[in-house]
Amino acid sequence: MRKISTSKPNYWFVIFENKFIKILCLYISMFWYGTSGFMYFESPGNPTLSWGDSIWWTMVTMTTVGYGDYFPETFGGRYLIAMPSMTIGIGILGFIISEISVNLIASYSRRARGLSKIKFDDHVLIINYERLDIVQNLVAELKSDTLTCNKDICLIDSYLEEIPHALDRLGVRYIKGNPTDIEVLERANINDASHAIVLSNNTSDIHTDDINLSIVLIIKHINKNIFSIAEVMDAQKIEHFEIAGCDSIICSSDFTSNLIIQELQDPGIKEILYSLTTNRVGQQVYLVDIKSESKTYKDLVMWSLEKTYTVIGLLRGKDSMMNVSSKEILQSGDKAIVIGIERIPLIELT
Amino acid sequence: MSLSKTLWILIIFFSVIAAFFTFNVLTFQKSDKEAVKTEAPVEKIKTLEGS
Repeated sequence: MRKISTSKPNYWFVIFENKFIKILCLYISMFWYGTSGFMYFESPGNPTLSWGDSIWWTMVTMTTVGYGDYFPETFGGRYLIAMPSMTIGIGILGFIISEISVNLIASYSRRARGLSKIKFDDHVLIINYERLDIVQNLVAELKSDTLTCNKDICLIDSYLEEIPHALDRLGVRYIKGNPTDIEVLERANINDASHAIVLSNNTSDIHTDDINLSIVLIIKHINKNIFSIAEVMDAQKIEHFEIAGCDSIICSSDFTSNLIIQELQDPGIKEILYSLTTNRVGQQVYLVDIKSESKTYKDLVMWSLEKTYTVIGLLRGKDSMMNVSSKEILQSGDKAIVIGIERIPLIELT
Repeated sequence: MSLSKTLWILIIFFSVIAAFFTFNVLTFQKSDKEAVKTEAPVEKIKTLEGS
């Protein structure tokens, strides 16, 4: 029967084989050798020489600074102490500098190639990378709104070799790996993430929705509180995403085709909708909580006339109501659909 | 011989010699200096008596 070893790892072996510990030990022993040797050879001829002077001389010599305020005058001091201190001091210094550089480069490289682990909290995950401009646009929109401008952003993708410089400059961190892999999602610290945006990776692939469906399932399984938004290519798959627990589903193909037709029928609609949906230009549409007691929609409109906002409707549950009757009583949980220049947290009707 | 072993040999070599230097400085050279300090006034008295 095969016996499995349960012995603990040999820590002494680990310590003795560590490159840094060896170099540190050599540096300490060399420093001690230089200090004591300088005292041994030079103090008989110079009775005022102290241990402090000797330590100073060793440091100045081993770092190749060489002030020259102290120097050996005896044969032993010069050839047995100073020369080894200079030679080995340069070697150790060079090694330490090169090791620091190598570690810095390796750390940056691991980070750029998405092999490191992130420690963000309350961050946004962007899953799948198809084109730079899509992700760049998403990041720019997130950074332009007060709700998400301070959130860290993490990109997860299987194919991207290295994070593009444009995204790195925007502070986006990258995790390389399959988004359906739990280990990859844990490296992106999914447990502490607030939002997940699942993009279609390959719009020409008919299975892209199925892959994204499994991503949503795993994300919601690990972190039930995360707000997930998925991009769907096939409108028939929307129901599947709802069953999977996806909080919001965007069917981009439907949206685009509708917009094309609207633009054809009423040229100029595109600019209006673009302005309303981007955080970077003009005014935006916001959904704002209402605090009111037995107030009507007319009161809400009257409030908006006093402010620089325009109320265009109500969101009740999942139903959006436009052209609401002025006598409509506002209910708890209703949200006002408001157009304005900046986000407001709450509308208080008194 | 591997680099690791060479490094450890160098460490032990320098440490042993450093220990010898330290011991020597702290015992013999220290006592020599003290001896010089205590003997100096006696020598001075002797020379004064001689004159």
